[in-house]
Amino acid sequence: MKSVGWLWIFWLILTCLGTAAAADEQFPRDPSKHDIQALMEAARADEMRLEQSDALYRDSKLEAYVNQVAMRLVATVPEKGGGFRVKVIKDPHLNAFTYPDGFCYVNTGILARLENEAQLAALLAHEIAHYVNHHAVNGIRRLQHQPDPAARDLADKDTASSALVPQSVKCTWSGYRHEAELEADREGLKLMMRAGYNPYEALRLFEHLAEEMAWEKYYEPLFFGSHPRLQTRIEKCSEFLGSIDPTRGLRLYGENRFGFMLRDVILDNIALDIQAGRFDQARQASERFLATYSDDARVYYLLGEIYRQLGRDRDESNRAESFYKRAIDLDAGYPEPHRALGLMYYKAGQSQQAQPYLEASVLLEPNAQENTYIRNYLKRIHSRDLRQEQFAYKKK
Amino acid sequence: MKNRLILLAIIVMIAGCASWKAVDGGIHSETYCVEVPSGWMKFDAGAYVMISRDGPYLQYVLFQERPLERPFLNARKRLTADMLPQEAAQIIIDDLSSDSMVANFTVIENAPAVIDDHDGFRLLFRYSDPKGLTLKTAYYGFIQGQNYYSLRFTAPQRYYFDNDIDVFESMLSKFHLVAAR
Repeated sequence: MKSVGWLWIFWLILTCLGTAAAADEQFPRDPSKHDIQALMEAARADEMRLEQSDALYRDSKLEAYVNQVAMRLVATVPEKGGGFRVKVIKDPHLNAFTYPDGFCYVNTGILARLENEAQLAALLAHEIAHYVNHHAVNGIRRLQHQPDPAARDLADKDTASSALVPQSVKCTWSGYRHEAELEADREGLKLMMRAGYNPYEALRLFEHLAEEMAWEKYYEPLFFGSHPRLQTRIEKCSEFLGSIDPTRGLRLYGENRFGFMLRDVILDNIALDIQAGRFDQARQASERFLATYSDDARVYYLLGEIYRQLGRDRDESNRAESFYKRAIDLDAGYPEPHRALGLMYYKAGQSQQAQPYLEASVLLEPNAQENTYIRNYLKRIHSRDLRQEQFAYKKK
Repeated sequence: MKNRLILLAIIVMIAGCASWKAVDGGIHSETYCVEVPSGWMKFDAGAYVMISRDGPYLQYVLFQERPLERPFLNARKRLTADMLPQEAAQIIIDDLSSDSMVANFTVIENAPAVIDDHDGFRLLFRYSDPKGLTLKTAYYGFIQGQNYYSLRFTAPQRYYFDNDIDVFESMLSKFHLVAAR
C-alpha cells in the first residue's frame, strides 16, 4: 500500500511535467490568429474598464489635438497605422503604452514634461512604431509563454492605473524586447521625419526620461526600460541622426497651439505630483510654467501648496504665504488660496489673520467638503475672542 | 498513506488558519484596547490588527498604530505631530488616491471627529479593487504624541457596508488609548 501511494504521487508529478512540456512543444512560434483574437478581446475589455473609470483625463480639445499629431504621423504609414488612437491618463509618472488594437494611452506626467509638438510627435511616433510592428502582440506572447520574472517585476512596480488595466497592458508595458524598443526608436525617427518633425527633439524626450529616473531613484518608467538600455537607445538614436542631413528643412509644428493645448494638463499634473509627494517635479514644472504664464493664479496657489506641504523651515512657510497672496491678488474669487492661507495662520496661532481668509473660503465655496473643519476653526476663534472680551471686561 | 494524507491536510489547514484567532472579548495592545463583539476573528500582523466576522473580503476592521516618521507607501509624505486633523486627513487621501491598486477613489465625506477624546478626522470613501469590486470605507484617524492611529471599516459597498457600519461605530466608541507606561 505504501509503495502504491508513492507511485501515485510520482505519476502525478510526471503527468504535470509532461503536460507542461507538451503544451510548450505544441505552441506555434508565431502568434496564431487565436492568440491575437484573444489579446484583442482582452485589450478591448481593459479599454472598456478604463473608459468607465475616473483614470482618464477627460479634455476633448487636448485629446483631439494629440490625435491630430498622431494622425499626421500615421498618414505616413497609411497601410499599417489605421486604428491608432490616443487617450490621456491621469498619472504623474512618465509613461505611455499601446494596446495591440492601436489604443495608445499617454500619461499626463509625460505630456506635461514635453516642450514642443515635435517632442510629442517623438513620443507618439515611438508608440505608433510599436503598433505597426506588432510589438505588443509579440511581447505579450513572449511574456505568456516564456515568463520573464524581471519583466513581471517591472510591470508590478508601475503605477499607471494598475487596478484598472491588469494583465494584458502590463504585458504590453513589460513585454517589449530591447530590440523592439530600438526598432521603435529608429522607426519612430523615420516617421517623424516623413511627417516633417525635427527628429533631434526625440533626444530631448530621452533627457526628460533620464531626468525623471534620476529623481525617482528606484522607480523606472517602463517606457524606456532599464538605465543601461536607455543609454544604448540614446547612442543608437544619435548614430541614426548623425547619418541624416541636418539642413533638410525639418521644423517644429504649431508651437503656439502646443502651449495653449497643454496649459491645463500641466497645471493638473502639478496637482497630481503634489498629491503623490513628488515635490521636486511639481516645483520644476511650476517654475517652467511661470516662465510662460506669469499671471496664472492657479500656479501660484500650487507653488504655495508645495512650500506649505514641504514646510521644513520658516523660509518655506514664508514662500508659501507669499505665493498664496499672489494667487489671491490675481483672482480674488479663488477659494483654495484663501482656505490655505487661513489654515496657515490658524495653525500658527494667528487667529485674527486667519479669520477673514477662512470666512472668505466658506463664502466662495459653500459646498466644499473641508468646510466642516473650517466652521469648527471659526467657532473656536469666535469663542476665544469672546473669552478674551469677557476677560477684558472683568479686568475693567 | 491515508495517515500521511490526513497529516498533510492538517498541516495545510494549520498553515492557512494559524494567523486568524477568535477575538476573545477584545483587543489589548500595549497602546490601545478596544472591545469587539463575539464571533469576530482576529489577524495580528504586528503593524496592524485586522478583524473580520465573515472573512476580510466581505468585511474587515483594521486598527493601526504607526510612528509618525514612517513614510507612506504611495504618497511620499509624512505626518507630523503639529498637524491639524484636516492636514492629516489630506495626507491619507493623497496616499490612498496615489495607490495604483485603487481605482475610482471618491471621498464621500471628510469631517472632523473625536476619537477617545482626541481630535481627529473621519473619512468616508469608496473605491474599486483590482477585481472591479466597489468597496466602501469609514476611516477614522488621529495623531497622539509621536504616533498616528487609524481605525477603518471596509466592506463591499453593496449590502455589506451598511450591514456592519453600526457594529464598527460601536467598536469605535469602545476604543481607548492605554496611558503611557
